[in-house]
Amino acid sequence: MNKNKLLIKLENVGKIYRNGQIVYEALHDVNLEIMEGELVVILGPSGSGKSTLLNLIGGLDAATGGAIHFGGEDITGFSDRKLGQFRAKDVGIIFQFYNLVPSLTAYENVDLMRDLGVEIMDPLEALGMVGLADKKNHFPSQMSGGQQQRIAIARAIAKRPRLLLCDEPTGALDTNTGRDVLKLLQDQSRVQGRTVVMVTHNALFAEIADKVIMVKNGTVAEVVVNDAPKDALELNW
Amino acid sequence: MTKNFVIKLIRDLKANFVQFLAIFVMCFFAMFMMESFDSIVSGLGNSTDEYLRDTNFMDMNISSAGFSREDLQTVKSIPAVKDAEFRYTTNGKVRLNGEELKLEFNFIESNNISRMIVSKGIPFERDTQGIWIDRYFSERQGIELGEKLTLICDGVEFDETVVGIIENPDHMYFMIDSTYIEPDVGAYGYAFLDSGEYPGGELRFDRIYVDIENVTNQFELTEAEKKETEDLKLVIKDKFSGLDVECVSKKDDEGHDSLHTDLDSDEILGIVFPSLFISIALLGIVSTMTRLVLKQRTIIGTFKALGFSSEVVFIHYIAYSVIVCVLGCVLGAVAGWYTLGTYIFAIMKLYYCNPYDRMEVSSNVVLMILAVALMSAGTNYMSCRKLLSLRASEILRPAPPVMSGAGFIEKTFIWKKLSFATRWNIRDINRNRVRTVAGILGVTLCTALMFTAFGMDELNKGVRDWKYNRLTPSNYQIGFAYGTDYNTVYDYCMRYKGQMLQTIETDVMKDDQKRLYYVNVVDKGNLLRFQDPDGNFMELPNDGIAACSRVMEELGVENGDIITFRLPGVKKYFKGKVYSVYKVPSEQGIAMKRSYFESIEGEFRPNVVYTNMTVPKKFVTERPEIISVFSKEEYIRSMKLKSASTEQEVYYVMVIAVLLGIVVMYNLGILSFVEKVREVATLKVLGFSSGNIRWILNQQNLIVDGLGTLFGLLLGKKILVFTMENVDYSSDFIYKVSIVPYLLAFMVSFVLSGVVNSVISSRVKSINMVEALKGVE
Repeated sequence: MNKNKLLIKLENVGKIYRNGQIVYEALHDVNLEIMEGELVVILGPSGSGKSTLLNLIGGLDAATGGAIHFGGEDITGFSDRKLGQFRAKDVGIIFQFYNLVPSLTAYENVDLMRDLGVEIMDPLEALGMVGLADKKNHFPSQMSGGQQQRIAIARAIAKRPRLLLCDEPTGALDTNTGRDVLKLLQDQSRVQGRTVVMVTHNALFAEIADKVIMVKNGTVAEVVVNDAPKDALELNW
Repeated sequence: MTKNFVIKLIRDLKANFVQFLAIFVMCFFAMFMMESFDSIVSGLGNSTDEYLRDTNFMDMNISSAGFSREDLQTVKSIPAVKDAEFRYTTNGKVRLNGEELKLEFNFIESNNISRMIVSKGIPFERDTQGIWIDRYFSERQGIELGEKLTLICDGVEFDETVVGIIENPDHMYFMIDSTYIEPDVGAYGYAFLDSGEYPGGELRFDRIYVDIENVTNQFELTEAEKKETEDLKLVIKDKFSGLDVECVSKKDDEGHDSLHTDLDSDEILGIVFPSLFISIALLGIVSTMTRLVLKQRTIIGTFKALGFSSEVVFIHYIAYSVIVCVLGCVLGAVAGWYTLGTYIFAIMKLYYCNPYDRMEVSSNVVLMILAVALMSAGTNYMSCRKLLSLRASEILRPAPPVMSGAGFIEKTFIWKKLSFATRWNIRDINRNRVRTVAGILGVTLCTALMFTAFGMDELNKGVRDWKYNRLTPSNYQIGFAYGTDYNTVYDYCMRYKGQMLQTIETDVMKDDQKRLYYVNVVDKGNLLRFQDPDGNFMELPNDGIAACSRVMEELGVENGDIITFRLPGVKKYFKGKVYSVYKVPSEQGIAMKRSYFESIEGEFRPNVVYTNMTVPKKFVTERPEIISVFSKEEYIRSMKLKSASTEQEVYYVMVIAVLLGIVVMYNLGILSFVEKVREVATLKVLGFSSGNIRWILNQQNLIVDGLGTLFGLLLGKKILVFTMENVDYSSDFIYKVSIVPYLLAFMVSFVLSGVVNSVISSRVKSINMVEALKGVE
């Protein structure tokens, strides 16, 4: 994967929330670029706008200003339906609380991606990649948090998306499990050449990133390129 | 929907078993009731229509003491008449195994109108010797084709060979004479013979059967066809003004009218109860699906975030209740067919003889199932629509808490005087108005349903006591043959210390409105009494007529209006002013004192004597002037038998109503409790005891159940009156129900909901505070 090839570009992006009389500017004048295969960590304190930024990049929300380009295509004006198709094809999402469907087994949660109408890898292969092929018939409630997050990663990577978005993927996990999850995500970037964008408030994670985007008060305060990212297994918190 | 969504759906249904079971049960019972009645209404309605069509059932039957051939030509020459034919009908006997059984003889020249269907033997042809005999009679009495029968007709004994086993539409609902209160199929029979076979002297045809040009329908007549028939009646009466003729149109034929009334009654029951069940089911669907969608907010958000289109998610969630509803409806319809439907059909077969009779699945049932599916899809769509209109990121955020301003009461001084429990409940109700209204509505509908069922049971059973104890308290009733002179009846009246009545079914008119009703002329006495619509005993007016409520309603009569009637055999039209209103359970009509009738130049010709003395049954066979002797017990027994199917239907409704009540209340109770778990856990954390919290919850339940029960009783009364008014147009009721249905509905509804809520609120003890507070977003 060519890490010099631009995948995502944000130009003067803003997001304003309106609730009756209350107007809240969550993001303003955000400009950034993310290359293919990069592992990007978005850091910032609570309420800084990092999750909003992640939502805009992944097409889970629409910007109220500026332009977002993905693979050279302007997705800013996409309708809800077209954004859905974009997410189905190009984006894998990993949530802090896993968001697995509780009434489906591990295998079925991954196989569910087939229903998006996109080509996916064999769910067993995806489960094998996260080391949980033997848990294929387990329901989420029968697994630990770490295992559930790994299933969520298998679900996200099964459709071979160009972009993996992770919203506090270790937020609900203990250190050891969190480290394993980070390793899996880092491998997606390093081995599979997939772009991974991760939102976290844990500054330590910056050490494994190729690029760190610091968000503060609704705007990008700093972008740091990490020339020698650490291996995720070396992290300790 | 793809495999994984189907799997999710099935597992979610299992996880929310009680809620979906409630929806299933409601749909099941709705279609159970509907199919039970509809299979009969459409099956018997259509099969009767076919039967009457195939046999060209008469459009009108003109009767007189005797018609000449010119009379027949006169009828045939009327432009509206398509065809007409003679018939002579008389009762006689057949000698079988040393026993004489009653047989109705029909002598005919042709077999084109109300023709017989031959199931065995040869078809009718002019001048054929032999007898065509009724299938049911031949089966029950063991009469075979080719058998020689000894017959007695008009006092003459003769022999005939059976040439055909037949069925005839005129005898669909057949009682050979007034000794029967209801048909006893096969105990007596009817037969057809060529007029040339008449054993007596010269045959005088006493009936002309008419086929009307523009009356093509048989069972369900159009307004135009009814008018055509009524117009023809006037023409015939005009043409035969010199003769005492009586015209009975198809719709007034005893069998036709009786079946119509029975099917109308089943039809209304098949509408009222399923409508109530469906309303409750829809309420259950709205409550369950709204909560399910809210509970699955994160999953729905995840689906959207993963890239699933809103349509896919819509279809998935709509499928939940649609599948449950359709399954409930289909299984309910099947169960209704094989249980209550089959039972009613069997009862109907005891009364109606129709070779084509069958039960039928009508398009109404299919349409109803589709409508239920559509309605449930619609309510589900509404539940999901608001959520799915949001962007994925918004759905994934927890729902904001329900906001509500301070209610009016909070601004008054009373607020500070209220206890914490009351204030908590007022605010909870204010914040969750929809849930509260749904709760009240659920209890209201269940109570209304139960009250209607209990009320129907009481009113149906009460009719027997009303008619045979309060209105006609006499022990015996003697019926006299048409034409019996006054002195003969008077002698019996004196001998048996009775009361005389002249009663006859005839046309009663107000302006251009005309219907068949009973005209009753009552002699002095206290064995025949009248009650006003409120159930108070009343005297008939001295200077006018009393009309029963049904007549007032159907003819649009008001007190002071003039109504007109004519008695058979009397050319004169009688006119009288309506002075008062009475109610009777059956035989709707008008009544007047003998003195008033005579004052308008009417001749009192009594045909019934009521008495408290015992009258021997043998009078019927021994004395030609007496055609019936019935005791009160016989009437009551017959009425019980006749209302057996109605009672059975009401029992089903009562059981279903109670079961439904339990399911609905449990469902609403558990859903409401689940919504409050977090608040309950918070109260527990703050140190409130379980007993305290239960009291807070039960206080609200008490208000919801109390209001629901109250509204339910009021609504139930309305539904009961509507149902009973429409269930049978020939019946009437005094809609005064005792305290019992109220108490029963109250007990079952209020006490049941109280018990259910109490059981549910007992879960307060076992709430895990940490889990509850963590688990709810």
